[in-house]
Amino acid sequence: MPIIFENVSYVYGQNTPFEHKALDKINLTINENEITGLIGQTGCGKSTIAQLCNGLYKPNEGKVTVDGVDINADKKNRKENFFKVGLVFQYPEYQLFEDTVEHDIAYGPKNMGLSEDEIKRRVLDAVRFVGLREDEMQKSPFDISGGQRRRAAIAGIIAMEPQYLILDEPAAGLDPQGRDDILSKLKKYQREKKTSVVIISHSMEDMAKYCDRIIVLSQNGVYKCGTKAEIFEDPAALRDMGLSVPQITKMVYCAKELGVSFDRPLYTVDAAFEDIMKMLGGGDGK
Amino acid sequence: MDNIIEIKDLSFSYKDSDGKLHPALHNINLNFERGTYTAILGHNGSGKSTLAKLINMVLTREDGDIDGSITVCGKEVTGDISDEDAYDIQCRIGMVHQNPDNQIVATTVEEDVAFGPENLGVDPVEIRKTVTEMLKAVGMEGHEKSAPHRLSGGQKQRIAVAGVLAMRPECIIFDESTAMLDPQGREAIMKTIDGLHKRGDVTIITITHYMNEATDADRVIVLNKGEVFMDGTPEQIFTQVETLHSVRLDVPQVTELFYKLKKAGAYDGGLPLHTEEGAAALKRLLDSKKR
Amino acid sequence: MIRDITLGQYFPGNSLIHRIDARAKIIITLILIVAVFAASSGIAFAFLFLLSLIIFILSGISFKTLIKGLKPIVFILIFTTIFQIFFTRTGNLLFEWYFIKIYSNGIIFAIKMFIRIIVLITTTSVMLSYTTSPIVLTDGIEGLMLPLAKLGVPVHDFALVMSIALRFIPTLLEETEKIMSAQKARGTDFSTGSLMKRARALLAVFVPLLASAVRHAFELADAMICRGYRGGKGRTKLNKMKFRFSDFIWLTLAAAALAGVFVLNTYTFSLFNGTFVL
Repeated sequence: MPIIFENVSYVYGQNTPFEHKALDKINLTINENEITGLIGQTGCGKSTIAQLCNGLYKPNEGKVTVDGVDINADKKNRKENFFKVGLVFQYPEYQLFEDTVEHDIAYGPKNMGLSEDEIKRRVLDAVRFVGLREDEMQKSPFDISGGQRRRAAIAGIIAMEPQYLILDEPAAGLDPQGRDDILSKLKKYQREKKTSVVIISHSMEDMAKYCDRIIVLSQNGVYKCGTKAEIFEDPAALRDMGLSVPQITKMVYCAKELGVSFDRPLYTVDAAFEDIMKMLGGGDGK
Repeated sequence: MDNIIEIKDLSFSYKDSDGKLHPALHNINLNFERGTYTAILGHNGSGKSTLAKLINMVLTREDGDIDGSITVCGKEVTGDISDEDAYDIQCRIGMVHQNPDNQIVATTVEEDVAFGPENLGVDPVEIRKTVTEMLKAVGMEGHEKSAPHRLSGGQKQRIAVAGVLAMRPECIIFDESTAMLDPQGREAIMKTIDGLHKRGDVTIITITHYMNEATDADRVIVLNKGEVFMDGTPEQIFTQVETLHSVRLDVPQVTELFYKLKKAGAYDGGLPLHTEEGAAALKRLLDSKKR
Repeated sequence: MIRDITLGQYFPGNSLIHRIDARAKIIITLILIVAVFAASSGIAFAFLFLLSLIIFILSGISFKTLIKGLKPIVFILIFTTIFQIFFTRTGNLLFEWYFIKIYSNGIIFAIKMFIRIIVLITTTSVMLSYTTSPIVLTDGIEGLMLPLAKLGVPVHDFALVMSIALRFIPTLLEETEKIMSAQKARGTDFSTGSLMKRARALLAVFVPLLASAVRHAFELADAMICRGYRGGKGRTKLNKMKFRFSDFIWLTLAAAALAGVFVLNTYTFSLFNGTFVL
């Protein structure tokens, strides 16, 4: 069953001079067994949504349900939500604190009160997904490289085996190689585990490459929610929202003004290549 | 040719606390001409930040083994250099770092921009003029009294740029200054860099791993595993798609598309880098086939 | 968000009090503190009470804010008042019930103590925290300590440390909040469990926070060197504090108030046929 937001509003610093409405009556659904991309400009409430999903924040209005249960109804079981909806914060490597990488990854599962054997199994499983090396496990988290620390931190949440895994900018600050690496590992994780993964990002290019469904947020709430093709239908609207669309989409948009039109919205090099080849083939009369 | 920075046969290895050496740069030979805009590309660990830190003397002989030499503004910074000379060079080579939060010293924007000139002992009246000018140069006028922690990442980074500009450096090195910013912030910084380049009085070196941030430079240098892997104009570099892919570096999507078309025998012109060029090339290609 | 918490209760404004030079404000506050402790006669206390009322009104701070600021000391206020009433054993006996004896001086001392505390808190908070930002206050302290620099006291370094601390408090608060949330999401429980367990939970926040603070420090040091910092020697300042004529007037008024207190101390009068001597 999905995560559903019904008319959810959230206000920061209520009753202070700095009161700020981050979300205003938004509705959205995060489906099971797929990768959902959550995209929007800074300040449109992406991170707020993430923290509403696992109950760290409570909505001022509306309801958040996970698997059909209102997560804020039962005050005693708040911890259960954290385990059900795993949340990886931005720059998660800054939260590592145990003496070894292995202990740090085991921290979450330990808090769940699992048996030693089960913890061990989960840690090894998580390490396999993120691709940490054996010798790095016994090192202090402060002694491994930045990219590896990021993986260790993500493994710490994966080891809790949450039904939903939400990651806030998992590739922020990494180089292109590290970026592709992390995101393709997450995709592999999702396909293998058949869980739900939510990736929050600024990068439309990454979204196009890795997500099954995309939710686009604007400053006024949910702008659009749908498949890649549906989202990229109107690149001008995305640009007006301050989102950067893939260069290929921009080029197609530019070409349209020159009188070249394509049958479908394009957002990957491969698809564009295919279409152009087809058009060229047609022109040749082959 | 007037070179602001000359690097000759430079090799560098970090020394860790146990005295063990970790090679970072190997046999680098590069000259940077005054007033030019160079982008240095490479993965993490390619040595690009190490190079910047050596130029600016953040890294010295105390941090590792240096072979060869770096000469900045006519003075060799890798050899014996007096404190006074070192200070002089550091003030002439400005540096914008990665994390915007860790570059802002003062509690208000104007005082932060003034920090550099204050250190140089500039007259307050003059500083006031400089602050106004530099905030304008980065598009942050009107924020003089703002508290830095209330600004967005991109705004903070622009303040950091203004702070470096206020020292009136001859060269500015942007060390992955956009890595922690969102697309808007990144665009604003790139626009600022472009504006500085157009003014022409300052040499610009950007260090980045984003391809599309290098397409506007005069020259692109690709570092790989501590060595100069490629060196040329953006057109020369980004059209070598295979070579870049071999070190797992991206090329702009448009370039990649036309490269694929070329390989398939459907296109035989030059490879475009920019969006508009790509669209125009596409139109030409389709028109020619229609005829 | 946590970063929106006002530091030190500063309320931006442009009142007469806001505009006084920070150095003058510190000196005026010190003079008034001396005056409050020097006051002995009833009329001197009345004078000081009136004075603090005037300062408060001139500052444009709302009454609600002032009361809020006084809340934390309500307990001390009540305790000292009761203590004075019941344990002073001089003056005329007014009331007796078993062991409880209330004397006239008890009432007088209680009232005086009450006024003393109220005046003290009101003037210092209005003068120094409500109308002076921590940044300006730091500058003020630096300005006043400047003569000590000639004696080799590192006044400039001290001021820079203070100002960097002020600069980074919001950043670190924000980080603390983020790390706490992140650890909560990993099942950390900060509020229940044994003392040992809670200490461990705090460790999960403290270690990353410390690491982060160290990182800030190193990177900031690099950035400062790159921007030509090499100590206070030869530095100029963009915003030089200006001691205006009006600041001299305020200082003179404060000095006059102190003198006034000493003069008023010599006037006493009695109420209810000498039962109360004020």
